[in-house]
Amino acid sequence: MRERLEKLRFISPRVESAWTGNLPEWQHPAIKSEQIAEAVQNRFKKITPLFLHNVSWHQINPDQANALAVAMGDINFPVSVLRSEISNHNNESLFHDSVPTSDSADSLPQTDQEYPRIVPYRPERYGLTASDFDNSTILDIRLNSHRDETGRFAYSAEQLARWDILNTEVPIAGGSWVPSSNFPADVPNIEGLPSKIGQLRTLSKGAAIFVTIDPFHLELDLRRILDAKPDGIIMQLECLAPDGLELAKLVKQTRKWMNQHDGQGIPLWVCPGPIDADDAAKLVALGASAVAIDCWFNEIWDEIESASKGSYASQSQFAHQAHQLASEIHWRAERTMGLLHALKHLPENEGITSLDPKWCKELDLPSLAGFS
Amino acid sequence: MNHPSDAQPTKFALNSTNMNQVMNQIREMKVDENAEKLQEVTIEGVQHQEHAFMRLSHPVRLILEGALGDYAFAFNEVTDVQMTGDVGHGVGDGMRSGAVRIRGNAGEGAGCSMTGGTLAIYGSAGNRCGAAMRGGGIFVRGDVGKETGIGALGGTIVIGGDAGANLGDAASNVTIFIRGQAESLAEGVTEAPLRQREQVRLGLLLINASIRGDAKDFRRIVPQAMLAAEQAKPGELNPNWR
Repeated sequence: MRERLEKLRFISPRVESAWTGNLPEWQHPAIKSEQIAEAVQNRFKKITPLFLHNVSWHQINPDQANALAVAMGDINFPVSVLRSEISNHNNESLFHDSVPTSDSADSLPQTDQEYPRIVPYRPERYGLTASDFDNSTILDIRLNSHRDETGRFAYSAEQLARWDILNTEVPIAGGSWVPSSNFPADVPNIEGLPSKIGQLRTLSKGAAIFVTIDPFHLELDLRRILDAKPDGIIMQLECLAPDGLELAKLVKQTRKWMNQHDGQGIPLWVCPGPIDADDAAKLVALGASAVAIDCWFNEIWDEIESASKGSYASQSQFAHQAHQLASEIHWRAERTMGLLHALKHLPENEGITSLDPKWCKELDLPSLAGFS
Repeated sequence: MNHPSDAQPTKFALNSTNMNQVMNQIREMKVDENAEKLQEVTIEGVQHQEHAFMRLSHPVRLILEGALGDYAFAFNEVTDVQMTGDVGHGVGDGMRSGAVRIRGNAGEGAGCSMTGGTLAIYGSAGNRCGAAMRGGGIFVRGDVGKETGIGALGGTIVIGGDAGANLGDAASNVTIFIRGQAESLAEGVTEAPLRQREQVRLGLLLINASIRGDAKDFRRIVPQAMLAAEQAKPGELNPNWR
């Protein structure tokens, strides 16, 4: 874990500022589309600004993976996963079929109690089944390129096996991998995307439709994708922005372009790669609506897994490990939530600054009088 | 005893009832499991509706006449569809079982990512027909566009006419049979004659899809590596063929 945006600092209110008392906690901006079900809108009110976007579920035992997804869902972190990735041999998935155990869920109607679940709708739809659409919160049309562990635009045999595509009687297509696509084969071009979004709205009955894109051709692609009227955009930034300032600029610039192209109010979720809790809050202050924390998940899971090597694999052990992981992530997220709460004491766009004039200039931030 | 299939065919009109209502009424129809034939449901008012009859999973025979828009019959199971008219893009997308027979033309990505069942198109189909399919069979009596079968991991595609560029996929396990000519084959893909058992299999598939023709008129499109593996060990598929 690293603080990539350490040059950015949270501003405190001026000495004369009025005592505002207790302000409400951060809440995800409401999705404006009328086609979103009320139950889904209610789920958006509860979720954290932190989500899991690209976890390698196929590298985790399915029962264990299911326990982890459930633990994350219980603390209201949206989790992107297909049923086939975490279901048992009978195609059962607790994460897909049951409701959270948290106390806050008790007061809500039954339909509001589903876990916040993102359906990764990849262009090839390997592993996707019709039941994935049921009670989903977000349907994520992934138009970004997928690389396997070797760097190819491909899916590994292990990934395909988890999607239940391979069996012992069928040779592995392509030997050890199959190429991945970055656009659905049944959509002739980007102008055809509204029809695909319409199809998915019908199939998922009220879920929000997000589109994941790479940042490489943003200026060309973003406007055309916004024309298709998705409910949100997810930016896969970790492939482009290793440096903190570049990351911050990309988020700020994307938000600006979205606003310019009639995308005000459309949530921008970002996948920044390795960050810490402060960075996550700073990215929200720069214009993101939610931030992927796959790096936290991977780091903590590696620690838990190596600490429990040799221990007996059982459902209770899986649940214990999942609880450990969720507790650690929740502890980190508390810092992010606290900082976002503190930002509410300041006017919008005046919550962060930097002593570095280059950062202030590039990000158009308020400079500190007398220091720049 | 009167079985539902013996009763008069049911009719629904899309001009007076919306798609959701018609779908719900179909789902609520009682079906006699002992009936020899599927109960017929005739749909009237078919006029380019988008996203029509998706995720239908009920053992009835749906009869439609007119044209439909994109993604008709996506994610269907069990249901048997007989349609006269053209369909848009993504017909039969994600289909799991049952049959969809289109007496007309289809747009791009017909049968995309389907995992089972039969999709028969008695006209022509657009680009990327059968892309990423994992099972089932697609039959096109006429021509298909470019990149047919790209990313397909299983199933069968039968092409009665010609194919556009880049037919097949070197990393695909799909079996493609073609009667006409392909503009070009994808990299790493080659033509091969049908073996005896494939002639028998294709003959049966053609009969099931109600497509006239002799299996001997077709050639097989396979990855070169798969063909080499077959030739090295006749009668067997080598899991490490690539």
